[in-house]
Amino acid sequence: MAEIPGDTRRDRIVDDLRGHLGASLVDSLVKPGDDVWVRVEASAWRRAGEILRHEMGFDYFCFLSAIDWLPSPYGKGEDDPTEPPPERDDTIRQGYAGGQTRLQLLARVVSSTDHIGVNVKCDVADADPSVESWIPVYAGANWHERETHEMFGIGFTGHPDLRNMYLPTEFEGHPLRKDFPLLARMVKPWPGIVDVEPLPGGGDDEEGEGE
Amino acid sequence: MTSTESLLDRRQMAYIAAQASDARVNVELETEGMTLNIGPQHPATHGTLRIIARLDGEQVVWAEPSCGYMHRGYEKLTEVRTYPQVTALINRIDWLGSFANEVPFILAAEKLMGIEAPPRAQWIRTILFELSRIANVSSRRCSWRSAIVSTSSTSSKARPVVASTRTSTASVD
Repeated sequence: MAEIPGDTRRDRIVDDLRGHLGASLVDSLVKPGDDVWVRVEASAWRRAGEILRHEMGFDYFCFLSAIDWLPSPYGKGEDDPTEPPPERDDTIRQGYAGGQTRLQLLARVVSSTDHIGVNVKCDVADADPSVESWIPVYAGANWHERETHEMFGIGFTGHPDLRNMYLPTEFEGHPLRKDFPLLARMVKPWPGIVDVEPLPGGGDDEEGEGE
Repeated sequence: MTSTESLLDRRQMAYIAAQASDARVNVELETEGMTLNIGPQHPATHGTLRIIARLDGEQVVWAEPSCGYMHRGYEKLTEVRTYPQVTALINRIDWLGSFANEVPFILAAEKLMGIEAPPRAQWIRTILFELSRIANVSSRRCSWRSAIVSTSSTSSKARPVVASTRTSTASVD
């Protein structure tokens, strides 16, 4: 197996970060030739940003958002609405670099000299989802944190202006959480996958036996 | 006495008059400061964007963009759709670069499913990318022009006296 040249550089990034953060860096994943994934503790969120920016040269802030890993309690789009929903495994799996909580914060920073991206994740507690704001480190995080706050209900301490950005001010709930119902779909159920037409000219214009 | 002298005089007079009129314009521009609400519907914006601008004469001293007037929350809509259905949403994010948004989504979906598109499909994507880039650049050129014209015409509504001479040249352009 030929070693991919970017591999050791990315390993070194994780080692560097672990050297600075110690046990606060909980998990990591290096994808050869691709992004680096690290997971830090929520208490070390701002510290991780500071180190990445000031010590390790990750000067470009790409985005900040969150993930709700809860499987949708409302089924899937391809489900037949006339049938009872199929049995599904509804355990929560947190993807790259693991995790414990349902909600995870996710930010990506890039080094403009090395062209390596680092995805930083952190678990946020369900009861009090709140971390320190990244604005003092990356000023561009301002609007990203506002959006994450209104869409996922994650608080950012030290953020100067956590008003809603897209939603009306009096809106209640956090729409991008999986248990927030999509009202349009609740009012009128999706007819299911009936809008996929057979290819024209195939000869079998009738609904076939599947194959 | 001589014609040259009177010419100089006349020039000087004209200069003084110009200075005086400039001064008058400057005095007119020194306003109390006003708050101007631009949008959400405005011909200069492609889509809807509201900007609350505080003006001091011609200068914008403070502005706050207020967005979300066209926010549909397509992340939420994708939760209940299949991948082929989502492509129809993705290409509406930016109607000038629809294909440029669609392909990254398709690539991500293919990566998740472990699929690699056949070479012919990849070539077709490249061609469509280039065509969409050309369409995007040329339509943006046109829209800049219309945006310039429409902004200048609205500013003349805000300050009819001072700006009328300038906007007339801008809108002829």
